[in-house]
Amino acid sequence: MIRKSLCLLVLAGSPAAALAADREISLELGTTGHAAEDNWFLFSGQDALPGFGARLGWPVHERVAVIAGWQHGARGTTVSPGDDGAGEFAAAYYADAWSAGAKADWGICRWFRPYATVQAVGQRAMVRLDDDTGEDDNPNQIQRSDFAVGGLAAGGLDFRVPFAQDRFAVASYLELGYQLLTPSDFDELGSLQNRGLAFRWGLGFRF
Amino acid sequence: MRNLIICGMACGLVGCDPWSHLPLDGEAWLSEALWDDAVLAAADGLYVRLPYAGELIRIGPDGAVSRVDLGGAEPTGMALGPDGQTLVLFQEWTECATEEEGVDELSECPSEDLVTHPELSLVRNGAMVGDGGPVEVPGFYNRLAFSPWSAGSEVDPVAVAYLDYEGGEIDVDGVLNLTEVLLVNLRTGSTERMSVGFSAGNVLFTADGTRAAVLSRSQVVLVDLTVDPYEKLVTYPLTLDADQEVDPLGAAITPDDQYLLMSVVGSGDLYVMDLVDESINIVDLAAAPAAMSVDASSDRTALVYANKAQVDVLEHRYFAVEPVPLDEPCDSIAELGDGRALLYNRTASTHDVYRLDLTNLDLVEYRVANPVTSLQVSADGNYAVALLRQEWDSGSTDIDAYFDEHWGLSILDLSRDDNTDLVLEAAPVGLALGADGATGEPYALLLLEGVDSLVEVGLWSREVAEIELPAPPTGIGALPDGTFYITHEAALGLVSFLAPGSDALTQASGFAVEGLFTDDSLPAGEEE
Repeated sequence: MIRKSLCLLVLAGSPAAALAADREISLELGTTGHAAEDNWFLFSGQDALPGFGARLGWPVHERVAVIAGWQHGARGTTVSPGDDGAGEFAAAYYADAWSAGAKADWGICRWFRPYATVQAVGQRAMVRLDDDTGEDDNPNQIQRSDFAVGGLAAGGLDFRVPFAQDRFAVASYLELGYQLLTPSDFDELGSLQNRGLAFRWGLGFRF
Repeated sequence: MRNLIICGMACGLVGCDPWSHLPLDGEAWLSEALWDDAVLAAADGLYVRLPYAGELIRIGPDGAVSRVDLGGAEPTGMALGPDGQTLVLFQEWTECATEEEGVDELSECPSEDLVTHPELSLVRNGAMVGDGGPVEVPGFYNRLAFSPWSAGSEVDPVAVAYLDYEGGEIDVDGVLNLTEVLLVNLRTGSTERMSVGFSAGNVLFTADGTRAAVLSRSQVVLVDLTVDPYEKLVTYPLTLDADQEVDPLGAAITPDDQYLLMSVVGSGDLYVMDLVDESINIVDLAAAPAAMSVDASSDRTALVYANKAQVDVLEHRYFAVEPVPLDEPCDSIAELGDGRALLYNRTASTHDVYRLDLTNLDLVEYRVANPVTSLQVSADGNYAVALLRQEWDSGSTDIDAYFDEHWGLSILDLSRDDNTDLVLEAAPVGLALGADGATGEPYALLLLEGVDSLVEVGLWSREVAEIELPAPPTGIGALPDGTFYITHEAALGLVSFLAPGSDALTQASGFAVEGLFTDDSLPAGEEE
């Protein structure tokens, strides 16, 4: 146990040996903010859409990597319209976002790399409404979807624990940015726009 | 193949139906219902208000839904004109009269700067009509009376908007004039305000639609509808004592359009106003009548009293009253249109329904099992169907006690002088009458609270059939072409249509989601 701790201290205190951007595979959790969307309350009491996803990276320059990712989020509520017992309905929102872009990092040391990223985002959002969730095929199972495009700009902190002479590392990152997408048009329902702060935490490998 | 089977089994275990696994982890509340099931059945379809979205939609009998463009205004009330095609719509839009910079949405506007503009508009065939578009009107009007309409009439149909005050707050913006009514030409959309006296509470029209009588406190005003602008012909004061207030109660115009009959609150006086020779006579009645009904066939009027077991028959030449004693008092009259009337009581715990011949004063008594809540007469006038409510009678035993505990339906055969009482499973929520196109047999369509079926009762055979409904019903009505519509308990909107003589329903569903994602943006200002 003591030996392992010492190893970590040595690693942390050693000069930055490998500063190049690395190949990356990560799983991530995160949220996308919807604070600016007035109608988001129909799907969540919080101003964000939590989700999970994955991210891949490939170095193209000493400090630059191209990255691509996928995130999935879903939220829903039971909605009570009016105060005269007009009946309830379920409202659910699903989003699958695919992103691709560049990430530039700054290798302060072997275990800590701040970075900035800009990504193009395409998102398929889907709304489901149902006023009788106890029935499998009631007439009011309404589903609408649309595809939106936009972008994400974020900054992040990448923490690494290198192994095998820096050829392999376990890494975790925290990322905070802003995502802006075009409005998704859900036909007669109207439109919703995904925009707001985006936060992600990821865990994966660098090699 | 093996992988496919494994995947299929896994899918079955977790459930492939996405609708049974919606990610619901919270609750939300909307300020208003998505749709109002008090729909209007016009010739071109059902008009439905969407209070939350502030929209008006039209649903065709084929289920097609279209949005009516109200220019950004929200519908607040509506009524169907006498032509069956024109909707008179009360609507409003909100302006933010603020000088603050950067206010783009209503929610950002200071509450003291919000200004609501009530308007009236006409809608026909799914679009606003009229010469000048919506007209700004006082927002307190809550009742509309329509003049009679016929295709060949040379007089434009007219609606009169007035306030039927039933308590509660009235928003006062500046000065509120409670002596005015609003006359609306339903063809052109033009409007005209007219001062008619304090608190107008009822409006009647002559059968030819050329004159309107507006009843207000202590006076009646007769309006000429054949001129433009409309003119007051004559004002009938109901009292010569300024300290005395005379409030109209019930009123009717005789079939020859010459006399207006009017009862007043708290008095047995029946005012008979001559609309041609401009005079008033007063007829003494036994009490203030609870209801009156003018019959064109016999040219007589029936009057009943809530607390007196008597019906008075008034002839229209000398206005002589002939009383007919009853076993129990009545407060309602259903016209049969052929010189007969049905008398019943909707409020008291009485069981009698009477059929009265207004010409020879023959009286037939029907004894129904429970007190009546409503009554409808079939189109051929040979049957009446009464809905009966539960009652609590400690003296009842056996089958009477059983019936007392249940809601009921009574079929009154108006030609054979008998009635059949049926026990209902639950409280009725709607009743409509129709007739089989092939056999001519009239039938009653009945909806029961919480029961997912439409009950059809043949009035000849008394046979009962049921049609399964997709959801519990809330009401029933008919389109002008005879197609029945049924509204349902469904937050996202559900209406079923049933063609006469058919047992197959068609549905319009999900229409209440129109505009669910509301836009709070302020209307764009006009550029100078």
